[in-house]
Amino acid sequence: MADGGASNMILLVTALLICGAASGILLQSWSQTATSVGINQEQLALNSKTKISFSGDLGKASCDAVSDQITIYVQNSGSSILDENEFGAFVDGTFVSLVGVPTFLNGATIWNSGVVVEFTLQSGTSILCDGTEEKRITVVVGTTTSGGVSGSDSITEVVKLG
Amino acid sequence: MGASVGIGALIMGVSLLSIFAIATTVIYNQVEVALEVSDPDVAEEPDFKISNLANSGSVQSLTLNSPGGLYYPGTLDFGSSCGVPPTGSYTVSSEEWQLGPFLAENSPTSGIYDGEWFSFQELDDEEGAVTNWYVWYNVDTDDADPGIAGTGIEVNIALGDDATSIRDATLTELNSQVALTEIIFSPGADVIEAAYQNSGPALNLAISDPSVPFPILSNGDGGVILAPTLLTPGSNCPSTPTITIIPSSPGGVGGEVVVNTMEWDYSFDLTNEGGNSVKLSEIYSTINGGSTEVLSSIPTFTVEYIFPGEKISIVLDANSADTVSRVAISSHGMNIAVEV
Repeated sequence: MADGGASNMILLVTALLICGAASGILLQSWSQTATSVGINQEQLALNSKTKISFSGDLGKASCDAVSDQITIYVQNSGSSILDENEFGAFVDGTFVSLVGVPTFLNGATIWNSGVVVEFTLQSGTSILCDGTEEKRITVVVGTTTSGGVSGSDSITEVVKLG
Repeated sequence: MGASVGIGALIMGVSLLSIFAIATTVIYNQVEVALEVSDPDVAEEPDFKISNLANSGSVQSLTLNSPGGLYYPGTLDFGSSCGVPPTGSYTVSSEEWQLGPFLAENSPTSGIYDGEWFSFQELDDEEGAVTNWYVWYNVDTDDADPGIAGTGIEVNIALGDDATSIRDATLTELNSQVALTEIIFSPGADVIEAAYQNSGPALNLAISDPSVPFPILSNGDGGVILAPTLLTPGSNCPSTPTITIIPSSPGGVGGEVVVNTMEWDYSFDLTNEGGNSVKLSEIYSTINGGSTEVLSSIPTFTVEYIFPGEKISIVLDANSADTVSRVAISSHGMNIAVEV
């Protein structure tokens, strides 16, 4: 009886230990899964709130044929705050560099919703500014980092250089 | 043993409840994000219409292309195309002449002044009223009035009078005429100088003999346009006005005054044809392909939004030397432009 009681006790204690360990593993893995899904959700949410649009005159875009520079205006049409330094542009599929620093219009200092920022792009090829040349411009922007995540958006438009 | 089974069941139960809570939170977050993604908090593309784009100019300066001649001073007519027509005027030169040098009565021979005369025209005002005058010389009271057109002024001189005394006698007679008030006569070196008080054209000085005893030293024409003056710039001119010279009395040929510089403003109507109100500070305009600026008007907007179906009139003082030919409006992905 005593032998039977001892072995039963060992079995029960072992079962308790295994049960506790399994619970710990389950809780840890679910916590990690929840954290990972949460970050992914925040990313998705921020991306959905990030939107940009071209402003200015697409049919007569401001440009300088001497220095091969194109001026574009980008408006924050989302509800997240954009980072004007998180900016990339492509002209006809070729990455182009930014000339100078971005300029906020209307006295803004932060790229909030509705604010337009002026960017000057340095084209890698010669451009004509006589209303005959069309360029396909792609812009990619990122938001300021919030909660460890940042959103982004891109837009592509064909503009006529005038 | 029973207690051990209970503890084990408690551990498992709490663990399963915790996992269920975590799973519920994850599912809730996923649903929330899904809703955000399906209905993102971003600005919808508005729908605007631009209409009635018009230039509104005002005249800034004038240029005298051709001074012409025979004009009385007057005004400048800019036509009726401007909402508020500009106004302007112009001045013209005054007649002036020099007669002489006078010769001595006996130089080279005595009798050279017998019956000689000179004639001139006085401008009584700057609107075309004139009086004709002539001066004739009676030497030793035995010469006759030549009887030419106008009012005669007799100058009595004697044989052997020198040039200065003849000039002075002439000046005395000219200055003694009560009706002859619009010309200032003054002496020069044996000459008489005449300066007209009124500007405008007058018949040129004429003399009976082209060489002796008193030639015409100079004859400056009046009636040449000197300078146009812009009095008021006007406003709402759809194009550069053409100027017509309107003298205060008919006459004048060859004069041409044109607009040198215009200053252009512009106006247009903006209608919100979409279903959402749009913040005016998030609408941007681009004029003639230049820099893009936030939409503004004169006077400044007193409202913050343009509502669906609402139409606002934009009037801007562009201060441009060129007419506005293209206006583009953009906002949140909407880009439209119109050209004049």
